[in-house]
Amino acid sequence: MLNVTQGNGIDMRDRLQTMAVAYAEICQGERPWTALGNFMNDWFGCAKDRREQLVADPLPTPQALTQETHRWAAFIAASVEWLCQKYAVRCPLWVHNPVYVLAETWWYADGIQKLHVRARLLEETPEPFARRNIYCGNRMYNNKYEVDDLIDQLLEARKSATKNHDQPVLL
Amino acid sequence: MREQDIDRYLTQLGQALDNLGIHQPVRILIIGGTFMLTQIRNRSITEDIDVIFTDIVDRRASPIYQAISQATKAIAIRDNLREDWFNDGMSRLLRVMGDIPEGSLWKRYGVLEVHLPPAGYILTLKLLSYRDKDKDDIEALCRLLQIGTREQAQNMINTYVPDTSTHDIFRLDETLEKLF
Repeated sequence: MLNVTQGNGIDMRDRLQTMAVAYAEICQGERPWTALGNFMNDWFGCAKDRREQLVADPLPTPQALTQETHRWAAFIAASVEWLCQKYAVRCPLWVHNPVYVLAETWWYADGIQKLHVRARLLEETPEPFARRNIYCGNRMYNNKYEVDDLIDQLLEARKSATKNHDQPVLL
Repeated sequence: MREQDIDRYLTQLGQALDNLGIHQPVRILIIGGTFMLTQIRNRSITEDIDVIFTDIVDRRASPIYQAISQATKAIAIRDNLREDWFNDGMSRLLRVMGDIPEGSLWKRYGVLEVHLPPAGYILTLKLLSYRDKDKDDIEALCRLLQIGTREQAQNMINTYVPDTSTHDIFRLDETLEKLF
């Protein structure tokens, strides 16, 4: 039988990249989207049958709470609430802690100096983020595991284009 | 996984395919984090190896694909890796989006031939999908390719994915508006 444990005896495939782990990594200096990207791989891919576990643990309190780590904590709380809504997972209570509502608006996007970019962000940002004063649009959790809808849209567009191309031109 | 891990696992995959009696070349194109790590070097670690099989269109009908799946599963178990460490989940979408470039041969691991797409293709995919997690990669690729204006970015995208309905579906205008 194959031994799937290594070194410290922990089966690495059992190690979940929970949101609490992701946040701890961010507080330790990891790039936020490396930590969150690893969470996404588990949420959408390998551990999608363990979603409740991925978000259950409250976020650890960092040794030094900076504006940056506070923003990411709020972003993660909003993400958990939104993902739980979207995927019908029981939402943990810790996300409702008022500490995760930012006092100052965080425009987390490129091009925010342009008014119409801000207007679009106001319109598109899901409510759990907006309620916490974060405006980031709605593409942050697009992922490679859920592309069927896109494929359908692209195929449909091709079909329509072909149909239109085949229409006789009426003079 | 780090660069040396990628090399090690692809070596194992090449050997496994040989052991399974695959003798014809199996061509893959590397994309995603593995491309960024090994070619652009703007990161030191990736969770998985994203690939496109350039010669396999219908996975279910391909005995070679079945052999690869068997080999990657065995490596995942032996080396304690995620089951999708070798991931071709984007293949179908990318084929629908447009022609996949042939790429240039980078490395051979037995019958496994690893090809590199042009960096412009990777940037095109990242601009179309435009997720927060891609921002650092987009910056690095724009720097490398000296893309500084919206027009330059649009021209490059048109080279690899000329279909405008695809641009619309991916809300490309909106992305370029934000970035340039």
